Amino acid sequence: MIKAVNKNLIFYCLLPFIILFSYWWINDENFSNLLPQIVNSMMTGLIMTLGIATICSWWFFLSRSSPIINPLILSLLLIILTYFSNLILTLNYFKKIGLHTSMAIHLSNTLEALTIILSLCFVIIVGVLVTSETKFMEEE
Amino acid sequence: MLAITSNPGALDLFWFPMFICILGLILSITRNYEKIKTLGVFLTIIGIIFISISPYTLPSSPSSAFGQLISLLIGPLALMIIAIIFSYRYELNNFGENVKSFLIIIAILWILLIWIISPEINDLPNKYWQIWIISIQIIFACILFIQSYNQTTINTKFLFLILGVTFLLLNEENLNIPNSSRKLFIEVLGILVGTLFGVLLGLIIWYYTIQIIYSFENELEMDSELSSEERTILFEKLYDDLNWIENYSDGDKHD
Repeated sequence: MIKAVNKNLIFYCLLPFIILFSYWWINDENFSNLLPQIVNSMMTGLIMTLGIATICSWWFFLSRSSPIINPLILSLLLIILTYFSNLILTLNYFKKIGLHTSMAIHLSNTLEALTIILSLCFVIIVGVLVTSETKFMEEE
Repeated sequence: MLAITSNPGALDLFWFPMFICILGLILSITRNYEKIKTLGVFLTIIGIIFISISPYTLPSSPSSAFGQLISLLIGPLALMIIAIIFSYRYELNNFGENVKSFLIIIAILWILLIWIISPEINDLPNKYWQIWIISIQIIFACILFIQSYNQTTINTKFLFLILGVTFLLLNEENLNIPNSSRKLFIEVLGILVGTLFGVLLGLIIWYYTIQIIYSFENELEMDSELSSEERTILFEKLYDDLNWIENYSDGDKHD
Protein backbone atom coordinates (compact mmCIF):
# COMPACT_ATOMS: atom_id res chain seq x y z
CA MET A 1 0.00 0.00 0.00
CA ILE A 2 2.81 2.39 0.94
CA LYS A 3 4.61 1.62 -2.33
CA ALA A 4 1.52 2.64 -4.29
CA VAL A 5 1.55 6.18 -2.84
CA ASN A 6 2.81 8.66 -5.37
CA LYS A 7 5.94 10.26 -3.88
CA ASN A 8 5.92 13.11 -6.41
CA LEU A 9 2.35 14.00 -5.43
CA ILE A 10 3.24 14.04 -1.72
CA PHE A 11 6.26 16.26 -2.42
CA TYR A 12 4.13 18.53 -4.64
CA CYS A 13 1.52 18.95 -1.86
CA LEU A 14 4.11 19.43 0.89
CA LEU A 15 6.27 21.93 -1.01
CA PRO A 16 4.04 25.02 -0.38
CA PHE A 17 3.90 24.14 3.32
CA ILE A 18 7.70 23.70 3.44
CA ILE A 19 8.26 27.07 1.70
CA LEU A 20 5.77 28.84 4.00
CA PHE A 21 7.25 27.27 7.15
CA SER A 22 10.81 28.02 6.00
CA TYR A 23 9.85 31.67 5.52
CA TRP A 24 8.25 31.78 8.97
CA TRP A 25 11.25 30.00 10.50
CA ILE A 26 13.61 32.62 9.01
CA ASN A 27 11.33 35.27 10.55
CA ASP A 28 11.83 33.67 14.01
CA GLU A 29 8.41 32.03 14.29
CA ASN A 30 8.19 29.61 17.20
CA PHE A 31 7.64 25.95 16.17
CA SER A 32 8.22 24.44 19.62
CA ASN A 33 4.51 23.61 20.08
CA LEU A 34 4.20 21.60 16.87
CA LEU A 35 5.65 18.28 18.07
CA PRO A 36 3.81 18.21 21.45
CA GLN A 37 0.58 19.05 19.62
CA ILE A 38 1.08 16.24 17.09
CA VAL A 39 1.82 13.73 19.89
CA ASN A 40 -1.22 14.90 21.92
CA SER A 41 -3.59 14.61 18.97
CA MET A 42 -2.08 11.33 17.80
CA MET A 43 -2.52 9.70 21.21
CA THR A 44 -6.15 10.84 21.44
CA GLY A 45 -6.90 9.79 17.84
CA LEU A 46 -5.38 6.38 18.54
CA ILE A 47 -7.35 5.88 21.77
CA MET A 48 -10.59 7.08 20.12
CA THR A 49 -10.20 4.65 17.21
CA LEU A 50 -9.25 1.73 19.42
CA GLY A 51 -12.11 2.61 21.80
CA ILE A 52 -14.60 2.44 18.93
CA ALA A 53 -12.95 -0.80 17.72
CA THR A 54 -13.28 -2.32 21.21
CA ILE A 55 -16.96 -1.33 21.51
CA CYS A 56 -17.61 -2.80 18.04
CA SER A 57 -15.85 -6.07 18.88
CA TRP A 58 -17.83 -6.41 22.15
CA TRP A 59 -20.98 -5.74 20.11
CA PHE A 60 -19.99 -8.47 17.61
CA PHE A 61 -19.27 -10.86 20.48
CA LEU A 62 -22.63 -10.21 22.16
CA SER A 63 -24.84 -10.11 19.06
CA ARG A 64 -23.04 -12.08 16.33
CA SER A 65 -21.32 -14.85 18.37
CA SER A 66 -17.83 -13.75 17.36
CA PRO A 67 -14.99 -15.21 19.54
CA ILE A 68 -14.49 -13.47 22.91
CA ILE A 69 -10.73 -13.32 22.39
CA ASN A 70 -11.10 -10.31 20.00
CA PRO A 71 -12.78 -7.90 22.45
CA LEU A 72 -10.59 -9.13 25.31
CA ILE A 73 -7.33 -8.45 23.46
CA LEU A 74 -8.56 -5.10 22.14
CA SER A 75 -9.72 -4.06 25.63
CA LEU A 76 -6.33 -5.05 27.08
CA LEU A 77 -4.55 -3.11 24.34
CA LEU A 78 -6.75 -0.08 24.99
CA ILE A 79 -6.06 -0.16 28.74
CA ILE A 80 -2.29 -0.42 28.17
CA LEU A 81 -2.31 2.39 25.59
CA THR A 82 -4.44 4.64 27.82
CA TYR A 83 -2.05 4.03 30.73
CA PHE A 84 1.06 4.86 28.66
CA SER A 85 -0.58 7.86 26.99
CA ASN A 86 -1.47 9.20 30.47
CA LEU A 87 2.19 8.89 31.43
CA ILE A 88 3.39 10.58 28.23
CA LEU A 89 0.85 13.40 28.13
CA THR A 90 1.51 14.44 31.73
CA LEU A 91 5.21 14.98 30.99
CA ASN A 92 6.09 18.68 31.11
CA TYR A 93 7.19 18.75 27.46
CA PHE A 94 3.84 17.44 26.15
CA LYS A 95 1.54 18.96 28.78
CA LYS A 96 -0.89 21.63 27.54
CA ILE A 97 -0.93 25.04 29.18
CA GLY A 98 -3.63 25.28 31.86
CA LEU A 99 -4.42 21.56 31.89
CA HIS A 100 -3.02 19.49 34.72
CA THR A 101 -4.74 16.09 34.84
CA SER A 102 -4.52 13.51 32.05
CA MET A 103 -8.35 13.33 31.98
CA ALA A 104 -8.61 17.08 31.24
CA ILE A 105 -5.92 16.75 28.54
CA HIS A 106 -7.75 13.82 26.91
CA LEU A 107 -11.11 15.64 26.98
CA SER A 108 -9.60 18.78 25.45
CA ASN A 109 -7.83 16.69 22.78
CA THR A 110 -11.07 14.79 22.06
CA LEU A 111 -12.94 18.05 21.41
CA GLU A 112 -10.15 19.19 19.09
CA ALA A 113 -10.25 15.85 17.26
CA LEU A 114 -14.06 16.11 16.95
CA THR A 115 -13.62 19.61 15.48
CA ILE A 116 -11.23 18.17 12.89
CA ILE A 117 -13.74 15.39 12.11
CA LEU A 118 -16.45 18.09 11.72
CA SER A 119 -14.27 19.94 9.21
CA LEU A 120 -13.70 16.69 7.29
CA CYS A 121 -17.48 16.10 7.24
CA PHE A 122 -17.95 19.62 5.88
CA VAL A 123 -15.40 18.97 3.12
CA ILE A 124 -17.20 15.69 2.26
CA ILE A 125 -20.54 17.56 2.02
CA VAL A 126 -18.96 20.15 -0.28
CA GLY A 127 -17.43 17.27 -2.28
CA VAL A 128 -20.86 15.63 -2.69
CA LEU A 129 -22.29 18.98 -3.86
CA VAL A 130 -19.48 19.50 -6.37
CA THR A 131 -19.74 15.97 -7.78
CA SER A 132 -23.54 16.22 -8.13
CA GLU A 133 -23.04 19.54 -9.98
CA THR A 134 -20.53 17.90 -12.36
CA LYS A 135 -22.91 14.98 -12.95
CA PHE A 136 -25.74 17.42 -13.82
CA MET A 137 -23.53 19.32 -16.30
CA GLU A 138 -22.37 16.05 -17.93
CA GLU A 139 -25.98 14.83 -18.33
CA GLU A 140 -27.03 18.16 -19.90
CA MET B 1 -24.20 9.06 38.97
CA LEU B 2 -23.20 11.43 41.78
CA ALA B 3 -22.81 14.19 39.21
CA ILE B 4 -26.30 13.54 37.84
CA THR B 5 -27.96 13.65 41.26
CA SER B 6 -26.16 16.85 42.36
CA ASN B 7 -26.30 20.21 40.50
CA PRO B 8 -26.05 19.66 36.75
CA GLY B 9 -22.55 20.28 35.40
CA ALA B 10 -20.49 19.67 32.27
CA LEU B 11 -20.94 15.90 32.60
CA ASP B 12 -24.76 16.08 32.50
CA LEU B 13 -25.24 19.03 30.15
CA PHE B 14 -22.40 18.45 27.69
CA TRP B 15 -20.65 15.06 27.81
CA PHE B 16 -23.79 12.96 28.35
CA PRO B 17 -25.61 14.67 25.39
CA MET B 18 -22.39 14.17 23.37
CA PHE B 19 -22.53 10.43 24.14
CA ILE B 20 -26.26 10.37 23.26
CA CYS B 21 -25.52 12.17 19.98
CA ILE B 22 -22.75 9.72 18.98
CA LEU B 23 -24.90 6.72 20.00
CA GLY B 24 -27.79 8.10 17.93
CA LEU B 25 -25.52 8.59 14.92
CA ILE B 26 -24.21 5.01 15.20
CA LEU B 27 -27.77 3.63 15.50
CA SER B 28 -29.10 5.66 12.57
CA ILE B 29 -26.19 4.73 10.29
CA THR B 30 -25.64 1.06 11.15
CA ARG B 31 -29.11 -0.33 11.93
CA ASN B 32 -31.53 -1.49 9.23
CA TYR B 33 -34.65 -1.66 11.37
CA GLU B 34 -36.69 1.48 10.62
CA LYS B 35 -37.86 2.14 14.20
CA ILE B 36 -34.30 1.95 15.57
CA LYS B 37 -33.12 4.28 12.77
CA THR B 38 -35.79 6.81 13.73
CA LEU B 39 -34.79 6.46 17.39
CA GLY B 40 -31.16 7.10 16.36
CA VAL B 41 -32.09 10.28 14.47
CA PHE B 42 -34.20 11.41 17.45
CA LEU B 43 -31.31 10.82 19.89
CA THR B 44 -28.89 12.67 17.58
CA ILE B 45 -31.19 15.70 17.37
CA ILE B 46 -31.67 15.77 21.16
CA GLY B 47 -27.90 15.47 21.69
CA ILE B 48 -27.16 18.27 19.20
CA ILE B 49 -29.76 20.56 20.82
CA PHE B 50 -28.24 20.04 24.28
CA ILE B 51 -24.67 20.54 22.98
CA SER B 52 -25.57 23.66 21.01
CA ILE B 53 -27.29 25.34 23.99
CA SER B 54 -24.31 24.59 26.29
CA PRO B 55 -22.98 28.20 25.99
CA TYR B 56 -26.17 29.22 27.86
CA THR B 57 -26.44 26.25 30.23
CA LEU B 58 -22.70 26.10 31.00
CA PRO B 59 -21.39 29.62 30.38
CA SER B 60 -18.15 29.19 32.35
CA SER B 61 -17.21 25.71 31.08
CA PRO B 62 -14.40 25.51 28.47
CA SER B 63 -16.31 22.78 26.59
CA SER B 64 -19.20 25.17 25.85
CA ALA B 65 -16.98 26.75 23.15
CA PHE B 66 -17.49 23.51 21.22
CA GLY B 67 -21.25 23.87 21.76
CA GLN B 68 -21.06 27.36 20.29
CA LEU B 69 -19.22 25.96 17.25
CA ILE B 70 -22.01 23.40 16.73
CA SER B 71 -24.71 26.08 17.03
CA LEU B 72 -22.83 28.25 14.52
CA LEU B 73 -22.48 25.43 12.00
CA ILE B 74 -26.01 23.98 12.22
CA GLY B 75 -27.44 26.61 9.83
CA PRO B 76 -24.91 26.41 6.97
CA LEU B 77 -24.65 22.61 7.22
CA ALA B 78 -28.45 22.23 7.17
CA LEU B 79 -28.63 24.46 4.06
CA MET B 80 -25.96 22.36 2.33
CA ILE B 81 -27.70 19.09 3.21
CA ILE B 82 -31.00 20.49 1.87
CA ALA B 83 -29.08 21.50 -1.29
CA ILE B 84 -27.83 17.91 -1.69
CA ILE B 85 -31.37 16.55 -1.21
CA PHE B 86 -32.61 19.03 -3.86
CA SER B 87 -29.89 18.04 -6.30
CA TYR B 88 -30.84 14.36 -6.04
CA ARG B 89 -34.61 14.89 -6.03
CA TYR B 90 -34.71 17.34 -8.94
CA GLU B 91 -31.77 15.88 -10.81
CA LEU B 92 -32.51 17.19 -14.29
CA ASN B 93 -34.73 20.11 -13.33
CA ASN B 94 -33.61 23.74 -13.60
CA PHE B 95 -35.77 24.76 -10.63
CA GLY B 96 -33.93 22.29 -8.40
CA GLU B 97 -30.56 23.52 -9.64
CA ASN B 98 -31.49 27.16 -9.01
CA VAL B 99 -32.69 26.40 -5.48
CA LYS B 100 -29.53 24.38 -4.86
CA SER B 101 -27.26 27.21 -6.05
CA PHE B 102 -29.19 29.72 -3.90
CA LEU B 103 -28.85 27.53 -0.79
CA ILE B 104 -25.11 27.00 -1.39
CA ILE B 105 -24.51 30.75 -1.81
CA ILE B 106 -26.45 31.51 1.41
CA ALA B 107 -24.49 28.82 3.29
CA ILE B 108 -21.11 30.14 2.07
CA LEU B 109 -22.10 33.75 2.89
CA TRP B 110 -23.22 32.59 6.35
CA ILE B 111 -19.80 30.98 7.00
CA LEU B 112 -17.98 34.04 5.65
CA LEU B 113 -20.02 36.26 7.95
CA ILE B 114 -19.11 34.13 10.98
CA TRP B 115 -15.45 34.24 9.87
CA ILE B 116 -15.50 38.05 9.67
CA ILE B 117 -17.31 38.47 13.00
CA SER B 118 -14.99 35.92 14.71
CA PRO B 119 -17.22 34.44 17.46
CA GLU B 120 -16.20 34.92 21.07
CA ILE B 121 -17.04 33.09 24.25
CA ASN B 122 -16.23 34.39 27.75
CA ASP B 123 -14.58 37.45 26.09
CA LEU B 124 -12.08 35.22 24.26
CA PRO B 125 -12.07 34.10 20.61
CA ASN B 126 -13.72 30.70 20.22
CA LYS B 127 -10.81 28.26 20.01
CA TYR B 128 -12.80 25.48 18.30
CA TRP B 129 -14.15 27.81 15.63
CA GLN B 130 -10.57 28.89 14.86
CA ILE B 131 -9.45 25.24 14.68
CA TRP B 132 -12.40 24.41 12.40
CA ILE B 133 -11.91 27.27 9.94
CA ILE B 134 -8.14 26.82 9.70
CA SER B 135 -8.41 23.05 9.23
CA ILE B 136 -10.96 23.70 6.44
CA GLN B 137 -8.42 26.04 4.80
CA ILE B 138 -5.64 23.44 5.08
CA ILE B 139 -7.81 20.60 3.72
CA PHE B 140 -9.06 22.71 0.79
CA ALA B 141 -5.48 23.81 0.06
CA CYS B 142 -4.36 20.15 -0.03
CA ILE B 143 -7.29 19.20 -2.32
CA LEU B 144 -6.41 22.08 -4.66
CA PHE B 145 -2.76 20.99 -4.73
CA ILE B 146 -3.83 17.44 -5.66
CA GLN B 147 -6.12 18.88 -8.38
CA SER B 148 -3.24 21.02 -9.63
CA TYR B 149 -0.93 17.98 -9.77
CA ASN B 150 -3.49 15.99 -11.80
CA GLN B 151 -4.12 18.72 -14.40
CA THR B 152 -2.50 18.39 -17.81
CA THR B 153 -2.62 22.01 -19.01
CA ILE B 154 -0.21 24.50 -17.46
CA ASN B 155 -2.81 27.25 -17.01
CA THR B 156 -5.24 25.15 -14.94
CA LYS B 157 -2.35 23.61 -13.01
CA PHE B 158 -1.12 27.10 -12.12
CA LEU B 159 -4.64 28.32 -11.28
CA PHE B 160 -5.30 25.49 -8.81
CA LEU B 161 -1.85 25.99 -7.26
CA ILE B 162 -2.44 29.73 -6.79
CA LEU B 163 -5.87 29.04 -5.25
CA GLY B 164 -4.35 26.55 -2.82
CA VAL B 165 -1.54 28.93 -1.85
CA THR B 166 -4.16 31.69 -1.32
CA PHE B 167 -5.93 29.49 1.24
CA LEU B 168 -2.63 29.05 3.11
CA LEU B 169 -1.77 32.75 2.91
CA LEU B 170 -5.03 33.64 4.69
CA ASN B 171 -3.05 32.93 7.87
CA GLU B 172 -0.06 35.15 7.06
CA GLU B 173 0.04 37.96 9.61
CA ASN B 174 2.13 40.29 7.40
CA LEU B 175 -0.74 40.53 4.88
CA ASN B 176 -2.94 42.16 7.56
CA ILE B 177 -5.81 39.74 7.00
CA PRO B 178 -8.25 39.84 9.96
CA ASN B 179 -7.96 36.94 12.43
CA SER B 180 -4.81 35.59 10.79
CA SER B 181 -2.32 33.93 13.11
CA ARG B 182 0.81 31.96 12.27
CA LYS B 183 0.92 30.36 15.72
CA LEU B 184 -2.65 29.10 15.41
CA PHE B 185 -1.99 27.77 11.91
CA ILE B 186 1.00 25.75 13.19
CA GLU B 187 -1.10 24.45 16.11
CA VAL B 188 -4.02 23.43 13.88
CA LEU B 189 -1.69 21.73 11.40
CA GLY B 190 -0.31 19.76 14.37
CA ILE B 191 -3.82 18.77 15.48
CA LEU B 192 -4.84 17.79 11.94
CA VAL B 193 -1.73 15.73 11.22
CA GLY B 194 -1.73 14.14 14.69
CA THR B 195 -5.44 13.23 14.60
CA LEU B 196 -5.28 11.74 11.09
CA PHE B 197 -2.09 9.84 11.93
CA GLY B 198 -3.58 8.57 15.22
CA VAL B 199 -6.81 7.39 13.55
CA LEU B 200 -4.81 5.68 10.77
CA LEU B 201 -2.51 4.02 13.31
CA GLY B 202 -5.55 2.87 15.32
CA LEU B 203 -7.12 1.32 12.21
CA ILE B 204 -3.85 -0.46 11.35
CA ILE B 205 -3.51 -1.80 14.92
CA TRP B 206 -7.16 -2.97 14.83
CA TYR B 207 -6.67 -4.71 11.47
CA TYR B 208 -3.40 -6.44 12.44
CA THR B 209 -4.71 -7.47 15.89
CA ILE B 210 -7.68 -9.23 14.25
CA GLN B 211 -5.35 -10.80 11.65
CA ILE B 212 -2.96 -12.08 14.36
CA ILE B 213 -5.84 -13.49 16.45
CA TYR B 214 -7.25 -15.35 13.44
CA SER B 215 -3.81 -16.68 12.48
CA PHE B 216 -3.71 -18.65 15.78
CA GLU B 217 -6.83 -20.61 14.82
CA ASN B 218 -6.28 -24.13 13.43
CA GLU B 219 -6.33 -24.03 9.68
CA LEU B 220 -8.18 -26.69 7.68
CA GLU B 221 -5.82 -29.20 6.13
CA MET B 222 -5.90 -29.39 2.37
CA ASP B 223 -6.84 -32.65 0.68
CA SER B 224 -3.40 -32.92 -0.93
CA GLU B 225 -1.71 -32.70 2.49
CA LEU B 226 -3.58 -35.75 3.86
CA SER B 227 -1.86 -39.14 4.17
CA SER B 228 -3.42 -42.22 2.49
CA GLU B 229 -4.83 -43.45 5.84
CA GLU B 230 -6.36 -40.04 6.62
CA ARG B 231 -7.81 -39.93 3.11
CA THR B 232 -9.42 -43.39 3.57
CA ILE B 233 -10.99 -42.26 6.88
CA LEU B 234 -12.25 -39.06 5.22
CA PHE B 235 -13.84 -40.93 2.31
CA GLU B 236 -15.48 -43.44 4.70
CA LYS B 237 -16.98 -40.54 6.68
CA LEU B 238 -18.16 -38.81 3.52
CA TYR B 239 -19.67 -42.09 2.27
CA ASP B 240 -21.50 -42.56 5.60
CA ASP B 241 -22.81 -38.97 5.40
CA LEU B 242 -24.04 -39.53 1.83
CA ASN B 243 -25.79 -42.75 2.91
CA TRP B 244 -27.41 -40.93 5.81
CA ILE B 245 -28.64 -38.11 3.54
CA GLU B 246 -29.99 -40.64 1.01
CA ASN B 247 -31.86 -42.64 3.69
CA TYR B 248 -33.18 -39.42 5.23
CA SER B 249 -34.56 -38.26 1.84
CA ASP B 250 -36.15 -41.66 1.23
CA GLY B 251 -37.74 -41.53 4.69
CA ASP B 252 -39.11 -38.07 3.84
CA LYS B 253 -40.63 -39.39 0.61
CA HIS B 254 -42.26 -42.35 2.40
CA ASP B 255 -43.72 -39.96 4.99
